[in-house]
Amino acid sequence: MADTDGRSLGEVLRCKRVEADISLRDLAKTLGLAPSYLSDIENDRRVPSEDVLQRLAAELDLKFDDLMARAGRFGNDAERYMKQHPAAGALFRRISDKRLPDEDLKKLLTTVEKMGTKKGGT
Amino acid sequence: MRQYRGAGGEERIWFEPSEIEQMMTSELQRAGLSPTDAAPVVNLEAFIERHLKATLDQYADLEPLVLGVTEFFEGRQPRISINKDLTGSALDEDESPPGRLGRWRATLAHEAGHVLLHRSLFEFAAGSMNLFETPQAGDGPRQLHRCLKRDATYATGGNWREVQANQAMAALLMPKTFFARIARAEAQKIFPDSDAIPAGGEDRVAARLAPLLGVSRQAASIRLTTLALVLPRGQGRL
Repeated sequence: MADTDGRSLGEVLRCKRVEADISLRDLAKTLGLAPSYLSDIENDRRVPSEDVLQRLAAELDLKFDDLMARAGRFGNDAERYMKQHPAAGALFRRISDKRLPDEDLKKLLTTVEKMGTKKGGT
Repeated sequence: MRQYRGAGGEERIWFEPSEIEQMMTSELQRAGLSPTDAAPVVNLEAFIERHLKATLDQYADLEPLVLGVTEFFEGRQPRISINKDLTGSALDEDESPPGRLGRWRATLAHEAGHVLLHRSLFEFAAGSMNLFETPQAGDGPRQLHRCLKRDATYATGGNWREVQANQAMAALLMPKTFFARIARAEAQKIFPDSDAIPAGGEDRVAARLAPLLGVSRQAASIRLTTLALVLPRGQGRL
């Protein structure tokens, strides 16, 4: 589950990069990105794709789910699933409308995990 | 350092040039980023991000005449923004126009100078305004230093804050003791019969120093003169 420290995606990425003593250009080069694009991400001017978030998480040793949450992304698979199953979107909207606290969300996640296991999911 | 009021009543802060030299040298040492023979180019990005803990936006969308902006916020780290056109032309183009990298580095050092010298003007003490601060509505930045092209040069005229930031810029890019030593060494290669740089010879020495230190020739030349490393006309030795 994502941390709720109120920091934006860009702030988290920049802090971690500086902490790791990596320059903007070096990180951009490692990830095969333009420095200006990485700078835009760090300054919250652009939201990166799921693939870029995955690479950033791996390179900076950050949690992918946390980055996805801060980017406001569900992920390509989840977005496809929601298109195929409108009830999934409705479920999310209800959760959001009810402003369920973290504690309840964790219970829901546990339930979903159990349901997935019963059906042979992972 | 002393505080005083300008003619218009605004609060100001004064540093002797020697204080600025000393401050910058000491900050580079504390940051572990003092230049060495093996690595003579000061890593300004690391200095700003890691040592000053300022947010550095190298690709900011600024007006064409604005090279850099330093912003101070209450309870948050300062923010340095560099014009994206300057960064792009200095670092991202295959063939950067001559002197562009030097200008980019000068802008970073100039803005770092603002953070080091002028942050105290905008800091708050226990929720009350600093003596220097004028109350402002909202939670926006307390002050903006918008540094125009004409500000981020080595000229000495202009706004008092810009003059101080320019002195800091030179001291960060070319720390006095280190600079004097390598300047003498480079000068020896050009003028082997002289133990100092003869008047009129500073441009030749500056041309060797500029690429070594990642600064413009103009910056190196002015630094040679400012630090009195060039002999006065008609004199053979310092």
